[in-house]
Amino acid sequence: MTRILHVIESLAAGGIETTFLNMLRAWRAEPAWADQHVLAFAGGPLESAYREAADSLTITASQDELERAILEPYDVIYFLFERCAFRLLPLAVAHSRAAIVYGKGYDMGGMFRLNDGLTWQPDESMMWGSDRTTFTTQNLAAGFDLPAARCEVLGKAAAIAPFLELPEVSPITAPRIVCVANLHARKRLGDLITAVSRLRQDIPGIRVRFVGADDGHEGARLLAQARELGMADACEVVGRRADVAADLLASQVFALPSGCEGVPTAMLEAMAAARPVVMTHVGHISSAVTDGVEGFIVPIGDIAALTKRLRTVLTDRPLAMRMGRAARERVYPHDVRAVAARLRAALEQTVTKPIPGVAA
Amino acid sequence: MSVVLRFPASARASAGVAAPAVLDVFERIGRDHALAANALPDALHDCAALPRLWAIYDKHWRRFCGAHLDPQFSRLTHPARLTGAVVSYDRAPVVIVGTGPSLRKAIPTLRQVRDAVHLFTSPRGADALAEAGLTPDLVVVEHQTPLDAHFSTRDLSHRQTAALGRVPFVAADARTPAALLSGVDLDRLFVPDPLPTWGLWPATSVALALAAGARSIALLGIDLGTAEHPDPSQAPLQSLLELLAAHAGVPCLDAGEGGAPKRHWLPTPLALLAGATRPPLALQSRPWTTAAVRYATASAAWQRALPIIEEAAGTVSAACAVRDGDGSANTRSKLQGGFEALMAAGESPATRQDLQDGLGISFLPRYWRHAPDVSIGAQLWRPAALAAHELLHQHHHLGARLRRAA
Repeated sequence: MTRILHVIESLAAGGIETTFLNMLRAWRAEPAWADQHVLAFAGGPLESAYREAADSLTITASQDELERAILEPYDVIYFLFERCAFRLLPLAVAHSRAAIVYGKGYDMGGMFRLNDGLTWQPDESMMWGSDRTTFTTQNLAAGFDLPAARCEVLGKAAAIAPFLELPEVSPITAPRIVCVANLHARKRLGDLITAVSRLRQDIPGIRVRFVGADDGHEGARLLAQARELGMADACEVVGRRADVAADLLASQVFALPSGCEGVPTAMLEAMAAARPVVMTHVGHISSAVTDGVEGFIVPIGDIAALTKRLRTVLTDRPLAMRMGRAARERVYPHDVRAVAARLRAALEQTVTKPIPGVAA
Repeated sequence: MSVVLRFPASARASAGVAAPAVLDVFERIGRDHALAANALPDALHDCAALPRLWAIYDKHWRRFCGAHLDPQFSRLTHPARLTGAVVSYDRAPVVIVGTGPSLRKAIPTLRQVRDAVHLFTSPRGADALAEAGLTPDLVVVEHQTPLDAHFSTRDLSHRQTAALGRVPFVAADARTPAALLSGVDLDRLFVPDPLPTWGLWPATSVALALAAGARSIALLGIDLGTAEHPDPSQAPLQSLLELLAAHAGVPCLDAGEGGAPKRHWLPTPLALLAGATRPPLALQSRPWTTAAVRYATASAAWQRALPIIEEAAGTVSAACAVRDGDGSANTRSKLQGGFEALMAAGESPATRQDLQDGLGISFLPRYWRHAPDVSIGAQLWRPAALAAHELLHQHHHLGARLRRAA
């Protein structure tokens, strides 16, 4: 049986960690094809879930232990996150006989590259030193100068199955906006509060609900902003929630005015819940949303445009319903089970058809 | 014979104290110029801290911090006009302020002792202090990687914080992106020289405080986990802080309640630092090298690297051929020879310095310290491609920067 080590940064409840956990779960649900081992540099809220999903889980920050772990006899080592790759991949390619696959997604390097054009050179070199590289999206892959035969584009994954079961927007859905995101300044969530404050007179009962882990400051800042605008009663900051289905169900639209994203998992979940989305031109959101079809895309920081588009989907309910249905149709390829199958094929191919020069 | 870089004698004399010898060793090792302890200058071997410090360097950093690498070449556009060091003329206590949980609890006490101490912190710490209506004396700006620096730049731009613009002095390492320093008065901005860093700003700040002549140093909000659950990921920083405190020659205090215990940092209530109002921190400065000189230095390093770049190009080419199925003896021999040449380049201290400090490469330096396993055979293409690709591209990128500037 193939023995795989997955190396990840931490077991925090971040987008990549959650998505990859869902991949492991998807593999678990199928007949066993590999021993799946996970090495994490730090623990976090997802620890028990990872223990259930993997055959073994090692959490260590010790350089000695990290090095020992990756030099165990594996068939494949799959690195996620540029930080753990930067720290351990050079050692792995120089001392391990395992095939090395670098999983490039929307970690810091990926997001900055896409959003700001920042080139962090070691990232590309690590791809050149690996047997294969997987990318979250074609757009991300296109930014690197790599032979096509050594790249696999997996698609952004999300565990959308539970959301596909939710009822669509209906005539009685309240004029509520939900925003699911880690609360951080770079998400520009205050723009959404300003937009809602401008819509209050025209749309009675409008509310916005922020769901997501707080960085320690942002939640309080958002609430203060809402108070200043006299809309404390129309703005909720509820913190991180394990299940956001109820929040989506109670809302007519999903909005995220962020200044830095890849393809947000929360947006894909909202689309699966048949909610129209109002997003910003950021990252690679346009790979999953076409402006005017599944929702709207507005320029970053353009609060007037954000307000206008929110007004449209909140007041034109038939349009909101149409967009919601289109969103649900569009999101199927992002189902984590489909993406997990593509990753599995890529890893299997690396083992069964090793690139010349790599010991079988 | 190498020259030992020492902290400005004038600064120490002004402060009326001799900076501990551990600072010289700390700063020198952190430059990553020596592959082995015995390659350090003879003068440093008198320092009792050297063996332990080198052991920490080996255990946690594998003998390569990368704290002076500038792979984005930010030094070329750094806005600073000054270099130098801060001095505490009356040797006032320095509190190193982090953003750990103990800071919030201690804010009222910190306000009470504020006038008797100097506060050194990071940009995030400056933000946290600003929220409490406090302004630090020195903000130390350094990042472990360009990604961290870029993250900070984004963070600052969104918060619209003016925290950096208010502080008396900002010590920004030469690798700091200009965008991160846009709000800083250039008369208060300097590049520390020498910069005592292993890439972890709290340890850097402790070293700067010792060099400034502080009569005691306290940590606040540098918690490194909790008393019950020390954060294992902070072990490298903890080791450094403990080593510096052991050889500091001045009292080192931990004023953060509830943090992980740190040897040689005596748990002490912050209130005990109350005392007479201290005079302002001073900056002993001199002009920093001009951008033109920095470009000229970079250009010289770029030129000197040309011979090894030829080897790197051949190595990448051979590595790709082997990777793509060319198993011929000739190609494998080229790969082996090319990689051996890259490894051999590391035997020259001058070349190492050029490639690390000039081009900002990170992978080959690691292989100079821990060579790949020769038994991996054809798989040598992987480390060879990794290291040679980085070398080629950094040279290419620096060349492009130099051409644009010209």
